[in-house]
Amino acid sequence: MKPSIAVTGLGIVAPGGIGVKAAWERLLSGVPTAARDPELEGMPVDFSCRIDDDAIAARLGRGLRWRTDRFIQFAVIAAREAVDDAGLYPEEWDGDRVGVVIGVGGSAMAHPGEYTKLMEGRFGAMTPSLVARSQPGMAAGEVSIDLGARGPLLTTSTNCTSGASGIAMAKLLLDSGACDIVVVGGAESARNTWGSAAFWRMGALSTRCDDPAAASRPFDADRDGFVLSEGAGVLVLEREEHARARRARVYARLAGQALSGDAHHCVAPEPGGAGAVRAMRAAIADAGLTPADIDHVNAHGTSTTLNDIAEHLALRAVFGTPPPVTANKGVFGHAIAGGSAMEAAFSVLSLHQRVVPPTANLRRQDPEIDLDVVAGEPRCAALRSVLSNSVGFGGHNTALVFTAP
Amino acid sequence: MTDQPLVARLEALLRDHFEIAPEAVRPDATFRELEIDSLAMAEILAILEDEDGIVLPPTLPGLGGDTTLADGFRIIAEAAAETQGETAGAAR
Repeated sequence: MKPSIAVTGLGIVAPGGIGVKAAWERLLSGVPTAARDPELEGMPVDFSCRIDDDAIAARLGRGLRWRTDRFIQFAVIAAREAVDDAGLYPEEWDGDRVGVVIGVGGSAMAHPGEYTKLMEGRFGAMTPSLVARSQPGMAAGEVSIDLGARGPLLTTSTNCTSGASGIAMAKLLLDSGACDIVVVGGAESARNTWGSAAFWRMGALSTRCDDPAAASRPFDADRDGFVLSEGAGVLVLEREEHARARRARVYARLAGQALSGDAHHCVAPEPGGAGAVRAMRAAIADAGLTPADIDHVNAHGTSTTLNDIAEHLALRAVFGTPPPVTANKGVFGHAIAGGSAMEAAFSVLSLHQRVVPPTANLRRQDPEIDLDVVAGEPRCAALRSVLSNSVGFGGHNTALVFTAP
Repeated sequence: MTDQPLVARLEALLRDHFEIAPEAVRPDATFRELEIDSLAMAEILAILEDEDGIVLPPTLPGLGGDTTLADGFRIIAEAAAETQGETAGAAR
């Protein structure tokens, strides 16, 4: 018998909303965060969903910025918020029983200056922090140091699903008894010059430079690609027995998880979404539920032509008539690992607050997409279970099922 | 007498780059007290090379966690004077 896993804390660092309250209110408002990005001036795609630098500096405090890249800073800030939200005190907890899992899709992208020094042979001028600031495993490492969490320490890197797959792995750690608490999520900053050029060149980005706010439009007929973003989402997961013993507030249960692979194409989804279908079905079964029990789907919804069609077909295959769907990327763009982690946190908030946030920019739903996509206004609904779906390049699929406590 | 512009430069690095409280940057403080470990010390030397053109050896004897800022700045300044002299000599 697997233990029941409780979600007891949330932390979010998102464009237009640092902290769970600000990010959730921004999401419910349906107002997109995409805007021209000064760092991307003169590039083919010169807009993104960007987090304010000063706000990050103010939250982080002194002394960590010189040796950490933005994705690490987001992870540390979101983890502190989640732990505080859970009513946990790192100075009091048994740190050996607290794990940290942070998903990171890619990193080491934000250093054109260091690569220039390398090309010029100016080796002594290269920052010695380059390894410590840019390797994917450093987000979990810095969170562990910051919190004094000495249990299992793990990084998941499954492209766009890295945050969600981290949450899935955290559940396995708790199921196995390896620890009592896991601080888990995903963090990414992909809206740098490298990311913008590289994703544009492969044809994945929206090029709606004349109207950035309207660029990320999941499931809309006029969508033309995704919008680069950044941020982090962190959940505190613990064995429910542990949470109840300390009288913690339980937002939701993480009832089921599953991963699958497409084995189809390097960056295109399997056209019918077969990999996503397998992950969703397995996660629902892992939760001991049937598709009819799922009241809401927080979709991956990237706003690319291929993803949204394939995800639609996957949802039809799993559910027949799927429950109400939303896509958070309309407001926040695509924050890669940070996105799938934030979307898990928002799924938990939907359950807890009994409301489905609207999908921004859905003006004219793609006639090929037969889904009940929540748009315009938040929709109130007594939700008992929510599925968060994530897919990624390489044929990575992760599905998570959260249920009301 | 330690090179005054270089001392001012190093003090500014500690305040601005490493975000150390200005009041903590005192001559008698040790690098350890300011949480300047070997990685951070290497960062100081890399910045001097990158932005100031002062090329120093990767490590400097006598410079460690228990060194005070006054002694550390003197060691860096002496090494800088030596390498700058070599550079000047090579140029001739």
